[in-house]
Amino acid sequence: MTGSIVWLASYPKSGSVWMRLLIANLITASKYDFNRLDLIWRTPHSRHNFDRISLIDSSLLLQDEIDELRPSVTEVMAQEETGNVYFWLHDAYQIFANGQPLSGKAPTRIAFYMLRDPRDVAVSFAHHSGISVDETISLLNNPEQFLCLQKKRYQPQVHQMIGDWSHHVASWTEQQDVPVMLIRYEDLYREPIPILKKVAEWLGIEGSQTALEQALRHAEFSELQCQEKQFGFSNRPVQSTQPYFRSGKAGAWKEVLTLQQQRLIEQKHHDMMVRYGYLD
Amino acid sequence: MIKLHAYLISGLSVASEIELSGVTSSPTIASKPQVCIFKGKVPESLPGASATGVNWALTKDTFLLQVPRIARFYVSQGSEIIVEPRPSVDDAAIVPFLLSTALGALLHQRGECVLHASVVSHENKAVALCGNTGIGKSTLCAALCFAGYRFIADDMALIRFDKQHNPSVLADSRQHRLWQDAIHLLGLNERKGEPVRDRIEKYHIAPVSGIVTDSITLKTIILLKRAEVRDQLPEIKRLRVADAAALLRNEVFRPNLASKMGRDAELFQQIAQLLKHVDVFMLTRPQEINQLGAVVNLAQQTIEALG
Repeated sequence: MTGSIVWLASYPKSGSVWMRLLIANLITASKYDFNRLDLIWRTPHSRHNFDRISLIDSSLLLQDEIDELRPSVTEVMAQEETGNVYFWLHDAYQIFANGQPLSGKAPTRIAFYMLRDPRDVAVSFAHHSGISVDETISLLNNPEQFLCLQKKRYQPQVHQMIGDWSHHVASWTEQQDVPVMLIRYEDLYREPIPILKKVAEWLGIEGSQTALEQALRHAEFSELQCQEKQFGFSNRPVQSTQPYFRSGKAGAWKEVLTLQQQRLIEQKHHDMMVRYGYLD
Repeated sequence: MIKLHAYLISGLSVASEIELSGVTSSPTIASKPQVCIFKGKVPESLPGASATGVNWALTKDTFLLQVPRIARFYVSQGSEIIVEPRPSVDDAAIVPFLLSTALGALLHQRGECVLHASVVSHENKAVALCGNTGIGKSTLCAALCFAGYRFIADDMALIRFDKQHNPSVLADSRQHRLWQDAIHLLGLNERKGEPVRDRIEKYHIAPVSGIVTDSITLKTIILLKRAEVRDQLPEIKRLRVADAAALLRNEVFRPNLASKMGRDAELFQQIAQLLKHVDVFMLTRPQEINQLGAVVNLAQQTIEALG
């Protein structure tokens, strides 16, 4: 029987790892190893999975050829499990040229959409990618933006269309195909318990005060920083200039962005930022 | 009259209607080629298929593969591949898929032991470099070859056992295939040949040592793995047979296809036979690409210490 997909979707650097760890802590009722998140959270954009299921070396396929197969590959991944199937991704929600959404015909239980102030995203993305804030702002503002476009070297993930930040947010929050629970990073940072309680309800798992507090305690930022220092973190890219768990604060952009940088983001994404409480 | 091109691929004589880029042709066509490749009509499905996937199906002796927007492939009896290209697709776009999954299926139909490996030879002993796609097998293979090792194979190693069950890697006339970044890192820009596929920055590179036409005894297998965290130095360790057996099963070419074709028991036997005659190592390479020199040195030291 096909599993029911639980999506965790987000624009990059919007708190996806933290949320994945919180959910892993909840569903295992333990302090889950953040270097083993891939055992729970599967990646529909993994080239290894795509190749395993399609039997093709997808590094030799062009973008539209990969897009033709992605929905049915994701569907097969969901069929490989029963119960909740946990997928995380950065793709903007889209319907592919063959008329199918990313999940194909596989049922979706819920999509958790993580949203973060794009000004904080710009700062975090710069440290993560080892590039300047100006470059990440260009990225955030680029409607044709992709992740993992394959050019001169092998990419372990297939390309993912993310578009600009506003498009990404709208693609998930305005679509009618799958139910969405919107989670603002800033709300999770300030008052996590009510959010986690609702998450647990959606997942059909234990949501007592004790369970929620334990899941939170095991994912405290200072604890994650210690663990990264001791064991490293597999998600930290080679080009990153800072630890993965670097700051985690909400609103730290105020200490970093110049006025011009701030305006570049706010002008481009004004409507979406107002809608979700990042601008008056 | 159809023009046929002749090749030696994984030790098999091949006659192909499609010109295979990146493969050195043989001077003459065998009177009875072991593998024939033609263009023609390919069924849309396989009635009575024993297994199906999103773009493939198979029976005991046939395999059907659809590569989106490129072609359909029908592989049968371990001896024939029929290709039906999509309209306006040129032959060059078909070749990478023909020489990988389609050929891999044919070799599995023949019951062969095929590893997803690049292979070099040192002092007339073959070393197979295995690992996931993108781990750096081809890059390490090319680096060793340009340091004086002989090039045997790039992506696929067919292994046969003689009467004493000694394993050998069979000759193959395919060239190195490297991504542009690796070509630049190795200083091989001047040797860059045609792209493996148009609009993909992966290229054929003719081997310095020329094409090998004989089989070479296999003595060593090195499994490549990527370090899980940054700033780790390369390290290598010999694997116990039990550990090697489990890992090598994943290094079979298209392991999922082999399982669906019902080859698990046979491959178990073949791998067990292999492990009686080869040393298997796990080489953990750093995440950082600028550590390639250290990885090559470590591989060379290990291979040369074995004698």
